[in-house]
Amino acid sequence: MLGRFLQVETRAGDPIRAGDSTIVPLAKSLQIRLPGGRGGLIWNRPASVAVQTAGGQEYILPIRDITRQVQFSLYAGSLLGVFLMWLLMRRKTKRQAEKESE
Amino acid sequence: MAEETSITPTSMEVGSSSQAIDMVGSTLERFLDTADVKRVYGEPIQHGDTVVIPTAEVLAGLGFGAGYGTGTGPQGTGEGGGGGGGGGGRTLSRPVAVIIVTPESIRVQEVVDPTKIALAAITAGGFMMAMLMRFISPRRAMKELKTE
Repeated sequence: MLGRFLQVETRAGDPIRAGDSTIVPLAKSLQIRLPGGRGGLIWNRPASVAVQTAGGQEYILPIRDITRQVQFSLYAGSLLGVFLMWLLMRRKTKRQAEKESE
Repeated sequence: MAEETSITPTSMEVGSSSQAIDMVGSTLERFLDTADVKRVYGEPIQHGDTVVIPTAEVLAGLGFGAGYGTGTGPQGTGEGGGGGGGGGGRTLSRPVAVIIVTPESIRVQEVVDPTKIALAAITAGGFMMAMLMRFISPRRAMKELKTE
């Protein structure tokens, strides 16, 4: 049911010949389709490249999105910081209240 | 740094319904083409012994809507109907990395966007400051003391 509206897949592109090596690009896409074919959203990003050298050696090179990683880290850090501040302030308020009641 | 492209919207200006269907069809085709690997990896650029392959992230959104209605005149004098529809979409792309192939090695060089990072830092810092100001405000402290 969900698969009709949400689809995540990894696609391989045409091999690229570069020097003695062959590179196969891999892309990851997220597709969201609105019910009734009224539209949708596609998020397509590079995932990794599979490299095959002339010597027959094969390996995968991941492609990292540094900008996105830093952005998410900053947002997550600020949320965590606010949560810690809230905990500290709550503890402080409780201590003050206890002192005043004594 | 990011590139924005608007997908041709289907509009009420379209003369006939077949033209509208054609336009919707071609727009959908262009939209679905966004999921292709070729949209993410650019054409390899040869420079001496070095080959550079640019990569980018692509985000595309599209929406359509249509409606139809019929009605009669004030005293049933006439009958008529009408319909309309429209839609639009947008494509955003942003460079992510470049693959550099030299005779010695193959490596991925990430593209860092300092403007986006600076904006994220300002947003995160602003949010933290605003929340800190709220936490340390005397009014809030008094309120919390009263409730406990």
